Amino acid sequence: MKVMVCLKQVPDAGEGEAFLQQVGEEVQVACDDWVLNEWDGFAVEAAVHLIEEHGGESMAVSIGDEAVEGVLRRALAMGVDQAWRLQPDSNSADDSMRLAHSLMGAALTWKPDLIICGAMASDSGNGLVPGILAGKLQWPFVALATGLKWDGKSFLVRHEIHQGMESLEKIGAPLVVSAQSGLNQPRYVSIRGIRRVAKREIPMKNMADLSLSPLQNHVELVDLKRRFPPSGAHAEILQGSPQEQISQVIQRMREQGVFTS
Amino acid sequence: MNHSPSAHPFLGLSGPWLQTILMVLAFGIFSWTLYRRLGLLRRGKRAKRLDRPLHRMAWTWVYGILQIRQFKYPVAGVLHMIIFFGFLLLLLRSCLLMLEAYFGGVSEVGAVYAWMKDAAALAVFLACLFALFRRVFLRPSRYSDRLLPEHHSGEALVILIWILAILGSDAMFEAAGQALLPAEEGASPVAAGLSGYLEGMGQATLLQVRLSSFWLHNVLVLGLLCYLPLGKHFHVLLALPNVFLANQEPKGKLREAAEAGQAFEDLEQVGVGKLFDLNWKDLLDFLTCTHCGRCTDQCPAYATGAPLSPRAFTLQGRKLAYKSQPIWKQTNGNPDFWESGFSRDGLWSCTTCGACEEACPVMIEYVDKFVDMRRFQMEIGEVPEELQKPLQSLERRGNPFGKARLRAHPFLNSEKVPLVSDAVAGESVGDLYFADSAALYEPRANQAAVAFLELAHLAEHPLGSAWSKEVDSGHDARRFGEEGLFQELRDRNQSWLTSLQPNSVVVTDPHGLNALKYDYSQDLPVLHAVELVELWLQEGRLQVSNHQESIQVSFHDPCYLGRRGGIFEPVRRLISSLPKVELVEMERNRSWSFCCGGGSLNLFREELGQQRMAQYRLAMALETGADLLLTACPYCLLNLEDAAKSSNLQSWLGVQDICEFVLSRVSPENTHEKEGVKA
Repeated sequence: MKVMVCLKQVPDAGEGEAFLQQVGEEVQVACDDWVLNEWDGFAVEAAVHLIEEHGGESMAVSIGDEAVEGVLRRALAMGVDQAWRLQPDSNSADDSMRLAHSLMGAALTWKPDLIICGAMASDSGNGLVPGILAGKLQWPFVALATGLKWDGKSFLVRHEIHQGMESLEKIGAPLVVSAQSGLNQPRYVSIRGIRRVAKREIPMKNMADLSLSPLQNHVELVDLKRRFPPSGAHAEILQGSPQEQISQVIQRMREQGVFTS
Repeated sequence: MNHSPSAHPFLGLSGPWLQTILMVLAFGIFSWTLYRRLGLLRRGKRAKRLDRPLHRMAWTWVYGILQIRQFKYPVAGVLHMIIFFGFLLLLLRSCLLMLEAYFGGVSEVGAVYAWMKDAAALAVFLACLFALFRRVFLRPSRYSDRLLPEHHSGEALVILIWILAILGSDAMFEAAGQALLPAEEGASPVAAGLSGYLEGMGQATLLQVRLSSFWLHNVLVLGLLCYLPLGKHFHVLLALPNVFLANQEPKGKLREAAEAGQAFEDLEQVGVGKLFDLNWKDLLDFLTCTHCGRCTDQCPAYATGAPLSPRAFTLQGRKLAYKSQPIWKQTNGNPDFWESGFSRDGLWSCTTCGACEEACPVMIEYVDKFVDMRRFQMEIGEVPEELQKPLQSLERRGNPFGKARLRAHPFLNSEKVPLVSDAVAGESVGDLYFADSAALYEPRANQAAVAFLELAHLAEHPLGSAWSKEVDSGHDARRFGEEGLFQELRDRNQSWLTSLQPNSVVVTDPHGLNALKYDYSQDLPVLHAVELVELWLQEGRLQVSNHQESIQVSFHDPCYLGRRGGIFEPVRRLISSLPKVELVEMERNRSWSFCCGGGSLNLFREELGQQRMAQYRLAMALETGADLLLTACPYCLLNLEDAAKSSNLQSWLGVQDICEFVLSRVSPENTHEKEGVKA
């Protein structure tokens, strides 16, 4: 079995540290701490686990400059067999169509049986790429997988559907799956593990390597403006010591009739 | 002598023949068993345990022969001493009785030895009877273990009865001899007394009694020898070697992940995953364990209901070792350690407090084994979920709280503690305060650190800080098995430490103390805050007010300050030098302290017991009736204070860092003087 995972590098938003800055009309990302997108971690774990169980080969791909090698190395340290860095298509930025186009090139070149993507990207909030990729490849697509198994002939994918229900699908290869949180618990990667893959060569693939022609009739996505949403009128931050704040909360609750006595 | 077994055939065999057959049989079985059992050690990894032989001999004399650790449990301890020393005397007797089968009369070596032997026999006899009574009726709780399905008291009972039978048969042998030839000189007083009961028996019957008791005695003694390697009484043979070979490194020092000359990164395998990844001394520990349960009795994880019992771990390890190398069957492979029944939850429940090792009378080591097993788990990515985030925070931000450096509490940037990160290279920066993560990123720990720095300021002891370069000491990353992360943090700290060249490093966090002393390689004096505060009080550089309310305080010894760092008495001297302050000790104090739940990464781990360790500890402090519980570690402070809050006991028992307490007792004149000088 061959499993390809698609990775994105995102700013580390841990502990609520500010990494967005309003610069004039623009909101800029001011972060020197980049990490693997949380959902992509589930995707890597699922791929490594499948290969450990059933044999085969796994590969991680990410689109971007040398900086994305960090997340590719993390995937290697987690146990992925190889990694490709895909050269970004000119001014692609966060255009899901362009990203899916590059990934399609990688898929048609490497020919995986299964592609796993994270359900969404934690920075842009987008979750379009896996669906577009499946469409372009004309492969079946299961979104928001919370369970993934291989029974020897086909994949068994459990995924979320509406109203909190889950559905279990049985689909043969090839297939695209997007990984939802809850799919697994990604394994810990020790520093030693990361260091051991530090010197691994990560090949870069450009459009020509992937036999890709430029996108035809593509409608460019234009980023008009980014801003912080204006604060609402109904939010209030309580002041004072914790004790005072608690009294105020109780006071408000009493006013709202939360307590009957 | 006429009535010696050497001269009378028994069961149709002459004495020498019968004895020879018994000995060949017994020594044959014993040697094979021993060969198989000790052969296990050859399957373990290498370990050097023969350095400093003279020191080791002295150590063995104190802990092995004099067994000073026995007295921490006085009843069992005294019983053990009586049986041990009694047996040493009786061993000579048993050897003589073996020879008696060849050379008649050799066992009669005079009145002095006869008296001594009788006294020993009587003492051992009574001790065994009491031990039996204790096992059967008093049943001390430490003899049962909720993590061990099988109860081990049966084996203890068998041995006690066995010993009684040996003593009894010997006495009977002598008594019958006395009855046959009453006028012998140098007779044993017990035998003389017992022989009275045998009066009236015919000579032939007496001889049969004498012979059968003699052979029963020899069979029992040789049988005991064969039985020793099969059960917990293997310790009779192994305790002294195990004590001699015990770890002689400082208590806070961990076993290295890679052998000398080997780079950690190039290791084929890290840590211990399978049974024989352990070293030979680890395996010897398993074989030596006496099941006494002192380790588990002291273990804070066990006490609070977590799935960890050091004794169960050792016995499960032993069982697995015996299973993989049976005495009479072919040797099996190298089993996964989990096959022993020891659980991952158990492994992660250890806070590395070291109470178990402090209690073990035969010096069995636990923390090194656990850490080595964790190293393996880290390597294969099997890490409890709740630890992953703080570990990644350590990797990315250099502290387990995940705070960015700009979130560090800026107290160190004040006039009082100048930032020395920009010191000129080659020029000494004086004494350096190493804050470590808690003081920098945790508000409550920060308050305690500020109190210490305030004291330093009052005592006019200049301290610098390089907090802007500091990362976590890596102490607990290492103890949780993340060796690579530890090494990275250590290297980052060591690089600025080397360039700043401080005279000494001062810490408020005992984990930092331990890391800098034993985990880091630079040779720097490292002091804990309490040592300095004690000095300042002694030298009068800090004036304490007499006009304060009287108060009773208790002190919780942090594991890495006390048990690991050996700093017990400076704290006591410090407290006793404060007027109107009375120290009331908890029953478990100094090296018997009870872990608060652990520092750093332990803070993020959910304890698996029914109760948190800190709550357990707080209950002990409440028993003293003290008004205030003091400690000297930021994490102890956090854990204990949280416990007081969550059990609503704050009004009964306050929790404070010792520096905060001293600061609250410093006389106003002291403060004013200093302010005046400054103005």
